[in-house]
Amino acid sequence: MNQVFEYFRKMFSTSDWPARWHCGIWSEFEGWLYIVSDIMIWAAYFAIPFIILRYVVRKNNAHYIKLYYLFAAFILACGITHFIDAMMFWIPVYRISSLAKFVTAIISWVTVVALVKFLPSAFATRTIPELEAEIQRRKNAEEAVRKMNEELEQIIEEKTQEIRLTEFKFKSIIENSADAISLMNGELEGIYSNKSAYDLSGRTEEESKAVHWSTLVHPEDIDILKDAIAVAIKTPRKPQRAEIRLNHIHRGYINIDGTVCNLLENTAVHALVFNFRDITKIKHAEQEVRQLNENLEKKIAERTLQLEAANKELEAFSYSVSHDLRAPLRIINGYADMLHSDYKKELSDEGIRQLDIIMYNTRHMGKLIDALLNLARMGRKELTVQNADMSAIVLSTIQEQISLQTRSVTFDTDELIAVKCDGVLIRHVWSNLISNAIKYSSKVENPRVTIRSTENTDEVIYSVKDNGIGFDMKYSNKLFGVFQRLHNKADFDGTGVGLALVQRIVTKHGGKVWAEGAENEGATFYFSIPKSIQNEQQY
Amino acid sequence: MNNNIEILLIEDNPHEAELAIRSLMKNNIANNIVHIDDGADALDYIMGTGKYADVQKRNVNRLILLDLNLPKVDGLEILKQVKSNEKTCMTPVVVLTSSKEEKDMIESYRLGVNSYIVKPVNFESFSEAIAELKMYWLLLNQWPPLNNKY
Repeated sequence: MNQVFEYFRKMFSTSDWPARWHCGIWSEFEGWLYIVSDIMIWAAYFAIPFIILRYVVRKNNAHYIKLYYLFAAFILACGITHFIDAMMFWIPVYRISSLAKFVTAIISWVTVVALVKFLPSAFATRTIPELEAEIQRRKNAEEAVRKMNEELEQIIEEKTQEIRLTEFKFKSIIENSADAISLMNGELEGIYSNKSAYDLSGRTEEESKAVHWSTLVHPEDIDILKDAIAVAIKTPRKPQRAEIRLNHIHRGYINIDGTVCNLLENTAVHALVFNFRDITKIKHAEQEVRQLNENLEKKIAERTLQLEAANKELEAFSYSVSHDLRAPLRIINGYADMLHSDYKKELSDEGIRQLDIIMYNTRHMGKLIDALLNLARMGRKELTVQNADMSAIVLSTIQEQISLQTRSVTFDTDELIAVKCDGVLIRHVWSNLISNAIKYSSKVENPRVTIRSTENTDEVIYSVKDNGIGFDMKYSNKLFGVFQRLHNKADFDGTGVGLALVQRIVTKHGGKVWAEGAENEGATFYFSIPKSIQNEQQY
Repeated sequence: MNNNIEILLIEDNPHEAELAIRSLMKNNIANNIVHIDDGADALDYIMGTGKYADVQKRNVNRLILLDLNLPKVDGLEILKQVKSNEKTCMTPVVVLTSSKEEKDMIESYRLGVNSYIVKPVNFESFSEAIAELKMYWLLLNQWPPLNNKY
């Protein structure tokens, strides 16, 4: 401790050692080389810190500033030891020299420690090319970012434009919609209405705001609307239909139809959307149609009743004809017969001839009545449609007719096409046509009856041709009328009902009858039967 | 010929009746012919009621020739009552009518008529029909014993 104390007390004393020139044998050159070198080192070491400081001040590199200071201090301290070393050739201040060296040693180690600490970050510090590359990379990245930003901005601009357009589009659509569109909030207060919505009630925006919407709805229909709203609120996004009457400022109550849809939860809309339109015209048209239908039904019912009444009348009529007209005829005939047999001797030949005429005509009238009744009955009869063997029907009809004839008639028949029909009724047709053919050819020498059938896609056509007296085509329209006859009774007996019956039966099958002929050149009668008889044909 | 059989002609038209009776007579019928021209009277006669209360006592077989179109009670009603009454249901009834109506014919058969004849307009044919009717019912047909009606 004493030595340390002594050391500091004699710090500036030079008495304990000789100057270096005098310690040992120095040649001038050796001494001055030493001195000059030390001075040069000191000068350089003195200059370096200033350069470093200048650099630090200029660059202001805060991160390494402490290290630079340490470095400066270390070099400066080193320089000072060299300066003292040189000075000691004349002034042997060994104590100051050792202190300076000690300070230098401390600073050196602090610097060493600092450098060791600094080493990892020094390794991380990039070289200039690396930095340049990095800078280039950053520049590129910045450029990319800038470009992206530009693009993004452009996109945003475009999108904004688009959104603006879309908004404009939808707004325009809604504003110009023919449908009335109104929005209401959850408290059922109006938020927005388009032009059509105001037009619907004929009120301006101000007039509409002056009245509550519910007062415009017909009192009987307000519950319908309220129910629809209630259901709509319970079921979001599901439109609820309502048809109500709305008060129009000029037209009174009009019919409107539409929906209410709960879009309260839709963040973009956030409203109850009412979408209605005027259906008054449609409603009126509907009502008209309904009324027309009702009238039509009424008319049909009336007509049906009339028809039923007419049918009943007809039945009563034919019953009356059957019973009431035949009885007096029989009585006339009977009494004429009685007169004939009881008073034959007292009557002259002329009287008997006249009686015969009476009886003949009563019999004829009897036939007429029977034929008429037959016609009426055929009209009422329902068709029983079955597959009918036409050839067999015609053959048996011909045999039946031949048995009634005294003259011989030649029949020429083909195999006839079969068709579905009411065989019993069609037999009447054949019977009438064949007996007519025989009758009207009875006055020619070789009577010949030709029977044929042809078919097309829809129907089968049958024909009966004779070589008899024929008829004038200009009277052909009279052929099928009741009691219409083209020949006098004296020549050809008949009731005038046969062809009417033929027509009635064929028409009932949905077919047609027609005839071709010329006077004294025979006649051909045709009738067609549809291949598919759907329903009983009305006539 | 079974002379015990009484012929009951129910016919409102006297001229028709005369022609029918003449036709029956002409064929040598000795049977008793009764003509009644009113439906209600005819029913009384058949049932032995009203002014004919004593008729049923006479023990005879009877053939009813029935017209359908009658005043008061019509032919179908008479037929119905005759055929639904125990005492008279075995009495043969022949409908003799001008009506060719199918529904009359069907209804008559449904009610149990024994024969249905449409009178021809021609008197000659009518006479022939009556002759055949007589031939069948009075000669060919076997009648049930009178005392064993039930």
